[in-house]
Amino acid sequence: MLKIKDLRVSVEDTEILKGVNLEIKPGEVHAIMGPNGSGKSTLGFVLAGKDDYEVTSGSIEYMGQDLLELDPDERAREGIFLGFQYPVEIPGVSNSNFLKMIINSIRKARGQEELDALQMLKLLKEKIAALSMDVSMLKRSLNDGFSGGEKKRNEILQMAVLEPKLAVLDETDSGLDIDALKVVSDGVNSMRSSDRGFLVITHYQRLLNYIVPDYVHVLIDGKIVKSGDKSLALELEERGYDWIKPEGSTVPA
Amino acid sequence: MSKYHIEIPSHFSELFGRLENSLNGQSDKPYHRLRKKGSELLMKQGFPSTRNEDYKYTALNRVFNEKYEIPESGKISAQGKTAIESIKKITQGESSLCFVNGIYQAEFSSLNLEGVQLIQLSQLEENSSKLRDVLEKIDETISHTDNPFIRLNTSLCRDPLLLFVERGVKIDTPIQLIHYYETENSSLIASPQLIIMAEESSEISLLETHLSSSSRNNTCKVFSNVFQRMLVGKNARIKHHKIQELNKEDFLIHNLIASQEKDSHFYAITADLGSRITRNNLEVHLKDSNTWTEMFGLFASNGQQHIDNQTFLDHAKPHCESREWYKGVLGGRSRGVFNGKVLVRQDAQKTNAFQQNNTLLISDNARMDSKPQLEIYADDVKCSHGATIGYMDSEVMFYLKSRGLDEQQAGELIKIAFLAEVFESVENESIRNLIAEKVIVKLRTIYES
Ligand SMILES: Nc1ncnc2c1ncn2[C@@H]1O[C@H](COP(=O)(O)OP(=O)(O)OP(=O)(O)O)[C@@H](O)[C@H]1O
Ligand SMILES: [Mg+2]
Repeated sequence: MLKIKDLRVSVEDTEILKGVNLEIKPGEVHAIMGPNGSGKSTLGFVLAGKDDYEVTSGSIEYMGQDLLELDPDERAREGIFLGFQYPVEIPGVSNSNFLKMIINSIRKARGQEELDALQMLKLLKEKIAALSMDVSMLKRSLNDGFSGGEKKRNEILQMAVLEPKLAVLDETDSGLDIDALKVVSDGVNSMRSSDRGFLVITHYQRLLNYIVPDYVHVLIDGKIVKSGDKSLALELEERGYDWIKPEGSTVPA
Repeated sequence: MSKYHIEIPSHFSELFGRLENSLNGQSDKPYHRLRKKGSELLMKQGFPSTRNEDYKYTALNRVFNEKYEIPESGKISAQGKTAIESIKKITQGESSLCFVNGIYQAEFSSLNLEGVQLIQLSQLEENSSKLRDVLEKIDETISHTDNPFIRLNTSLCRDPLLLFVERGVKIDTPIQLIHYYETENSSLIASPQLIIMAEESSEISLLETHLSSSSRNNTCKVFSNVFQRMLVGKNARIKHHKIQELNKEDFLIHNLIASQEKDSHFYAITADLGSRITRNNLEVHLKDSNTWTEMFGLFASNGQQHIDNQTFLDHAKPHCESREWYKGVLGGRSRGVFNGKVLVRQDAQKTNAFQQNNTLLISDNARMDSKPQLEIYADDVKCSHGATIGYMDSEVMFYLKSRGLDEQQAGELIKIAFLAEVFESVENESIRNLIAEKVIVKLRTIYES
């Protein structure tokens, strides 16, 4: 469903992604690990269509179309979801109104009937309960003053209601306590299906015990330097990144 | 005449004489002395020029250059009637005072509230104490004000009104002040004047709307120059809500002076959406201790609109609290001005004053001039003020779009969210919804160019 070929991306004339290749098929869960500043979030933003990032070469094909042609909102309506590493706080926008708005706009885009107030309430209550969130979160302004963990749960809640085809989760585990990690992982796992792909960005192998990936990739300095199965994550946990020499690096091992 | 003023153009100075001639019989009534005085003081004072610090960002030449007719009373079109009826529905039309081109229309008005009286000053006995009180207040104001528009209003006001709220009377449902303007072939100056006396421990809520008819020769303009004086008695409360949706060629200068007695509460919100030029002069004087004052403002403009909010709050007594918050969204080539003065006098210990102005610019050609001013002479006070002027946050925009909202939906959400704190200050739910609804409709028309 997603084919990234030799993707190079610059921000303000600095090259951050330096030739990334990645293919995700429906039903697969891919994990990306890598040191701080290696470009993981950049990859997420480029997939979601943030315009500060300039794609200088390469291509991204999503469900048979050129993803780079689409605006961020079109991508979302085509089924791409990015769970933000740092969700944006928007005071003045009520969380429940926001959720209702995005649910109906996505339903409209998919040619489904919009939900009425009652159906909406039922849906939200159900999803919120599944994530062990407090209903009071709905009344508050979107992410405004939310704790780190609350923000991440709120991201997963949005994913749950939007039912994307490809979900990119950027460090959804950081900031979560042990119980929340389990709850959020269950939330993700319950959405795993043969037609849905996941790209999970994380620093910690622990998450991958809960959300078991089919593939693990290591991104260093803008390139995927190693790929493997879930055992690669364990190895990284044990040995760190030093043993993997970035391809083309001039630093002696 | 000081260098901060310009001479009153002859087409303005003639207006008083024209009104006088048309008053037949009314010109020997006591109020006429004030019209005369207002006119004389105005001639001496002149109109403000942009050299005047308080008019630095608001040139009124466009208002001064236009030649206006004085509206006649008693005429209203069928279309006007329909418009007024539909505005009345907002509060089931129970208590509404209607003004056409600034003149009170008794036959379209109704006020059946125990303990609340609407009085035309011309109907009062010449030696009644009520009339004497009111005339004294107006005289005092026009004599001491530095605001020429209050003098202009008084000199041209055909039918001054008094709204009297008796002691202890508490009215929850809003009294509507419906201002409707219509003209076919000439520009008009409207000069409504209303004095409100809320006696001890009384409470009222007002909903003032300004709307002009669009069917007219499009070179004609309406200039509404309003003066309101509100006396908030001991432990009394006045809540004043205003929604202004004039035509995009019209002018509004809205002058409101409120004074508060001990333990009283004054709340004012203005939502300015229409007009070519709006200038709100809001003054609140705290006469005694332990008062609570709230001033809120919303403005949303596009095209060539110019909206200027001037506020002055005189903290003269101790233990008083005030909160002032003006927020606006500017698009097109529109301009906004906020000039908020809070004076905390030496005697006003334990004052708690908050003032804030925030503006969201949608277009590069829009402009905001904001000048929050805090002048403090007391030492034991809690005061804060601030102003921000900014553009839409691209991170917020991207976040919303990444959830599938398109540019328009996301922009609308951001603009409404920006104004939210001001909406939320409105206690009455139907008024809050009404203001929100009108603002949202207006926001949809605010773009970059
Ligand atoms: N908008 C931007 N302007 C300038 N530099 C940027 C911008 N966005 C990212 N960068 C730089 O690009 C590099 C990669 O950033 P990115 O956020 O993708 O890293 P990351 O792998 O997600 O790191 P972390 O693990 O700390 O989240 C960093 O050096 C960062 O400073
Ligand atoms: Mg990151």
